Amino acid sequence: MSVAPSRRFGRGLVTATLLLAVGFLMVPVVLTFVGSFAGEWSGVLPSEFITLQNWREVLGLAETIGSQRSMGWNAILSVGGYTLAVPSELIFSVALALGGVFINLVVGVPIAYAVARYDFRGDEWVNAISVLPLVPGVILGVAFLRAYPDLAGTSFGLIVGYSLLKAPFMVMAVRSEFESMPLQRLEESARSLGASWPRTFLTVIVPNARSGIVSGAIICWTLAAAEFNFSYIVWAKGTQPLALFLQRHISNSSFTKAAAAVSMFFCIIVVITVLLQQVGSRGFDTRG
Amino acid sequence: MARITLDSVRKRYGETTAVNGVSLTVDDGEIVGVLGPSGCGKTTTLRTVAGFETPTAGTVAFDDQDVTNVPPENRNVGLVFQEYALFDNMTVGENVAFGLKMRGIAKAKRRKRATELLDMLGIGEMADRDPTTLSGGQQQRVGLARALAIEPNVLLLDEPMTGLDAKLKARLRDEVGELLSELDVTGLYVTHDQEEAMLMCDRIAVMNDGRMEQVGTPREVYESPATEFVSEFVSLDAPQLPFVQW
Amino acid sequence: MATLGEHSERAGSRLRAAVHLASTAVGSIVDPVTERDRTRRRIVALCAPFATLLAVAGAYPLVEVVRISVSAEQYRSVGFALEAYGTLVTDPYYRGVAFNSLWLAGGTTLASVGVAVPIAHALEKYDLPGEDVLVTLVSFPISLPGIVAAFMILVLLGNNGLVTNLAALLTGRPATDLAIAVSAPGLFVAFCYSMIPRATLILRGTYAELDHAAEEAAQSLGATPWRTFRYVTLPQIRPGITGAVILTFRTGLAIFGTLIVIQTVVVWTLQISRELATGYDIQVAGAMATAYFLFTFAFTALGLRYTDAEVGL
Repeated sequence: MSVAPSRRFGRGLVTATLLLAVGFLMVPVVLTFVGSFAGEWSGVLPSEFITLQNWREVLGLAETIGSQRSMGWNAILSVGGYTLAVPSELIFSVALALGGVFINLVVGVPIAYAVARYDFRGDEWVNAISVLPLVPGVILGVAFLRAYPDLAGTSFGLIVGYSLLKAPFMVMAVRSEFESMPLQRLEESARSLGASWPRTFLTVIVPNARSGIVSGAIICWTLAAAEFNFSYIVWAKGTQPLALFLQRHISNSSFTKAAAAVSMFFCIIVVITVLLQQVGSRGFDTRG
Repeated sequence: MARITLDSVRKRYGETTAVNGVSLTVDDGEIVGVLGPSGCGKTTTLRTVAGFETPTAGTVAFDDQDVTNVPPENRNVGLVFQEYALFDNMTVGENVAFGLKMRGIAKAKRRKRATELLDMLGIGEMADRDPTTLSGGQQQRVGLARALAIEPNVLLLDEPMTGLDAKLKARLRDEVGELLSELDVTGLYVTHDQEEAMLMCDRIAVMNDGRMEQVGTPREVYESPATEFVSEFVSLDAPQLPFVQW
Repeated sequence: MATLGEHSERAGSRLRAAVHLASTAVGSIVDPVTERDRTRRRIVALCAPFATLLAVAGAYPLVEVVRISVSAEQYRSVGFALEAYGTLVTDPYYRGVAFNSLWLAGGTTLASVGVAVPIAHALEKYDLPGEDVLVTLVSFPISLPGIVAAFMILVLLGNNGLVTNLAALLTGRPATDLAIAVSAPGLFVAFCYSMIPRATLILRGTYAELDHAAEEAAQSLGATPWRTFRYVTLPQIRPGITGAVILTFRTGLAIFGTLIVIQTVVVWTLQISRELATGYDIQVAGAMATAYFLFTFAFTALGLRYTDAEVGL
């Protein structure tokens, strides 16, 4: 009796596809990280290990020719010969994305609650609108330039744009958390005990959904920090958002230095992902 | 505690009528069991008393005050659900004290009251625990303590024992029944389990299809059912009721 | 037969009824009486912040873009002219750009979903060692912006790239001749780098909802793995695949950062940015943005309406 080829090879082929795909996705990531510590990158593999020069230059800790390409540092405190400095670009980027996350929380948590808790006419539409991205960053960028020519390129414009672009991810994360909670019972218990509805929402519902809210915030933060398309279209002058800083290095710097810039971004993503998994598995304890 | 009066309460959702002209009086200190198959309108009736549903027609009154349009948070009713619905972001003690906090009672006083109630229910040592670490029976006691803490006009119990295992159910039933009569609670006890209703309630209201079929003492309902539905519903698998208890 | 008077009277009473209905609806929200009114007011309050953001940051700017795109003047929204759209339709350059966008996004969508099906199949159905790690590795690139995806392709296929230099070593030809990162095929691979993880994420969701009993039944009846997949698994995951195709295609059309790094093929999004960079032609850029929005909206709506697509994000 002959064995069907799919029985003999099928599983192996499918597994091989998976492993090849993982290799395709991860080999360049690993190589970039390794290469960021190399002095020279030509030939099959980077060479002249180990140097921290690329990282130092990217982070702006070493003098470079054309130092505007490194991350700007602002001296915030000078005592004697020592200067305490912060990477202004990194902080600016962190703050911009945080601003977007703040708006996401204000708009996303309530609408996620409305969809998860109540049945009302048009709730499917509200759901669809709140979780489907309206337009991609490039289109929104053009729209912002046209509608708010003076505001679009400012921090405020960037924050508002990020918040609209990333809102669906907040709504999805928070909604799925809400859907796992006995919302109606919780709300009714609290109200029967004398809590007004707004108070119920703020002191019972929101704290109980904290792990979903925190993971939504982390996802939105990561995506906003990495948002390139919108930033590229609207950004005019001043400190650059992180994604533009990355692009500047990828397009203009030496290969090893670009690798260091991209690796720094990987590190941020990894830290955020680990944080996310911690939140997901344990939840944040806000009781103190 | 108060006397609860439902007068010709009707509740329609679009085409369907969930409650069709229910009139019922629960006297001060009395526990009335609302018994019926699922979908008979008993939960809607309970939610109307709590204020989560405004009746399409008819009125709800606590003592002589019409509360038909009073929002739930101003009605002072205690709610106990099958699913406990404890607030996981608070300790057991904070759960019980929540209603008192909403009433602006000082922290020391509400903590004392919460401890008293938890002691009374035999879980006094768990006040500082996280509710998620408690067993089902313990969580249900916390739910009961939380509802009793506000000294409600009426205590509404929605299938509170469903989902617990038989042994625990029997024990909790005895304990809770005793406690409720001791505290002289006015209560509405919704259940589909007639044994539970007969053991814990002073009177029983049998509902079917949005209507009250019969209201009477457990003995009346059991011995002289008013309608065919009641006789069928009550006689089904209710072989030997421990009538000695009354 | 109804006379004109009757008609207008009926219309009038209908209007009065509608006004009455609207005023009670508003009244019940401003001054609620029943619990249902209060609930309605809560829903309005809960949706209000999102609606405000959507109006201020989404709807108004998009309306402004549409207005300038049909304006008779170049920098002010006045009158009505379809000149910009005329340019898009008649100029063969823009037709070429649209064609580039469609084949690039379409081709990479098919390739990505095609690869994502076996990936999701292996991850969800096989009991592989280190499965969690594999899932994390496959999902990692989702967080990477297009510019980083482009850099990853430079690392593999660029002048300094690993694959390029391996090939150079084997064939003895100079690496610069073999580098394909900055070419249409390189761009194709870069798009796939961004899209495979996303397609996999969607398809893993589809696989998770699969009914395993039917597959086991088929296998126990002697069906080969391929036939089981073809006749039992595939029909079940087909709505998920269609959904993944729709969403991945949208992703593909929206890619922009990758093209800033690898500028070999001019697609719609890149051309929009060029309209603004050279001469700030907001009118044509606006028309292109409008066309893009209408196309993706219609494509998604029709796709979801007329196929069995399931989009469980």
